[in-house]
Amino acid sequence: MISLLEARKNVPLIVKSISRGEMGMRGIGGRGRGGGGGGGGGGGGRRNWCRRFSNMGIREGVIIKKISMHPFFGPVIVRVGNCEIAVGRGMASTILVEEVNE
Amino acid sequence: MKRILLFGNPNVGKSAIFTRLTGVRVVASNYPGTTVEYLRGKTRIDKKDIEVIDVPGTYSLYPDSPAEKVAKKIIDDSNPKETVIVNVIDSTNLERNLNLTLQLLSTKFPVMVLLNFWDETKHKGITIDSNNLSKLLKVPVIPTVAITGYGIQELRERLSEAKPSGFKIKEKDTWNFVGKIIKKVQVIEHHHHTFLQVLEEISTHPVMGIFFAGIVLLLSFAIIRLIGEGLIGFVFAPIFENLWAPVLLKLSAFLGNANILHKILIGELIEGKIDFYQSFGLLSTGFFIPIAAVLPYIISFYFVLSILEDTGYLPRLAVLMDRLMHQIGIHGMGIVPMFLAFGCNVPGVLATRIMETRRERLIAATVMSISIPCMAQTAMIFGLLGKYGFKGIAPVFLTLFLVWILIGKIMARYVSGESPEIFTEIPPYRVPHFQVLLKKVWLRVGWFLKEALPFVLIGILLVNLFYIFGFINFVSRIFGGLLTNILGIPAEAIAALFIGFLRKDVAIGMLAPLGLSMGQLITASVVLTMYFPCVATFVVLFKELGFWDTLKSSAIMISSAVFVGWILNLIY
Repeated sequence: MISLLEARKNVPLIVKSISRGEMGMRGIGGRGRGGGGGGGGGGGGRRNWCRRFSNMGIREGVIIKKISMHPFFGPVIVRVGNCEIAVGRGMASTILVEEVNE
Repeated sequence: MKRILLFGNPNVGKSAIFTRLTGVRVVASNYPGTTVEYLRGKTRIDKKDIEVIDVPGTYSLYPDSPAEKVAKKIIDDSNPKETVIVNVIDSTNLERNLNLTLQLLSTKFPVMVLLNFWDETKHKGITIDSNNLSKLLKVPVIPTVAITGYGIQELRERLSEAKPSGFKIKEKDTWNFVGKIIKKVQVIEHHHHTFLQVLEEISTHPVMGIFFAGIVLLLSFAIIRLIGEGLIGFVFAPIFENLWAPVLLKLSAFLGNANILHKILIGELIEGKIDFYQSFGLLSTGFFIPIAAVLPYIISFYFVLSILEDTGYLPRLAVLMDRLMHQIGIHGMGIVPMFLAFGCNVPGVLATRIMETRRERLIAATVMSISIPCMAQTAMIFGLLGKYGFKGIAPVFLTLFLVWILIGKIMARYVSGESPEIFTEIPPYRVPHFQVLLKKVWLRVGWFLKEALPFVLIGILLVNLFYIFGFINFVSRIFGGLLTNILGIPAEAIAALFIGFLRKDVAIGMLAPLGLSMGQLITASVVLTMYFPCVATFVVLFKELGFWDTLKSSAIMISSAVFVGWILNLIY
């Protein structure tokens, strides 16, 4: 199981899980996660974000393809079904995948 | 039945269906208590008028963004006994779209499902058994192609068949259920890449995409200028010069040259003639600026913007711009409000709603109102500095771009809060629906005329009254020294600063009769862009950001305008 960032391009990948834990939080916080918001809201935000993945069709057991990864921490382009989705690196790193042998 | 709600994911062709149903009777309005815009129209079915609402695109009924919250609110505010939900689905993306469908079926509303882009399924090797889908969902399912109108008649005829389906499904089971449905109704075969798909690959490619974006943007600006100048040179200016000017000259002779009424309505005659840029009367410059100098550019800008929107290019631009936008603490989708702001800052500020956090919205709205001149202003800057060519125009926009980056960077450093990453669907390229496109341009242009024309007239009336009653002389004697010493602009230009709050295009137009040098014009154009937003933008800033953030934002604007103006004065 590897993160989407390390996966090869243009091969079918099966989504194993959307990882929970610290890595994810830093991911969505991105740069400059300042004070303010409060820790309690964070958990809600994360659940929210899992649902956004799933609304776009990224969830466990689905086959996706990594199309490209933009340099200098640019977004990762993923193909799900018939549509393409741009995902920031931090969020993409929480998608854990495995290559599918056809 | 009194009402149809068009529900669906973003980019499923809802607007095209809406246009097919409603024809020309359409109003765009903000949902009560929000600034999210939605379209309302009427259609006639069985000799009854039925209201049709184009609900903002949403992925689910558990809202994540302000637009999705409005979608939820519209459903909450509707009566299930008088409303039918028409769920528009992108049939090339059946699986993802069905998530929302199942949520809609779980409500008490009667539902009908449209499989839109039906023609595209054939090119993409997708076969969907719509009859079987209808049986499984227990509601009518109709294949449609909004662009050609295929299926719309059937939609009208079968609308009464829509019934509440009585589905009860828990959120966590939805995807399982979707999976089962998909297995029963959809077959996908391998297919070859179409030309559009090759273009899609190029335009989000990390290297080729940049070149592609360069070409697209250059082409866009060239077309905006071509159409804008074409409309001015061949349509609007000749009408004003040949038809309107003689009328005004007659009126001028009738009024007599030196009285107050003449001053207000016609302004000054320049060498015995009307000069639409310099006369500054209500009927001369007051009509000319919004209609002949600015409207043509508004039309061409919104035309090009709507094409970029409806083909699906903007999200691709967002992906490429992601790195640049992160410099100022917002992600790539921030390019969309920025782009809109070039048309007018008001929709630009409103569009910052697509950003999720307060930090992003504050940064985006502030840098935009400081450094992005709206089309009206741009048109006037071109009108004034155009005669100097590149060396007159370029410093203005280069300075504004540097200001955009610098202020953005500083704000990204000091404004607290989160900046989420980009997460957006990149819809396939599609040929825009011409009618939808024209309607969009028409709504936006109409909005400009309604909002701008009165302010231009009030602005010019005030200028004239200020002059007549000596107010401008008075103020320029007091503050004029400041203007001259720091910015190197003559004291009379202070009137432009006042009027700039009402309309920036008029303010820049006011510089025309002052006989400024190129350097002074550059400084004045930049300062007028930066120092404060126009009243319309200020009002939405206030609504969007609240009191404190607007205050912060305004302080940044005024201080940075003075600073940048001072530097430009040193250079020129």
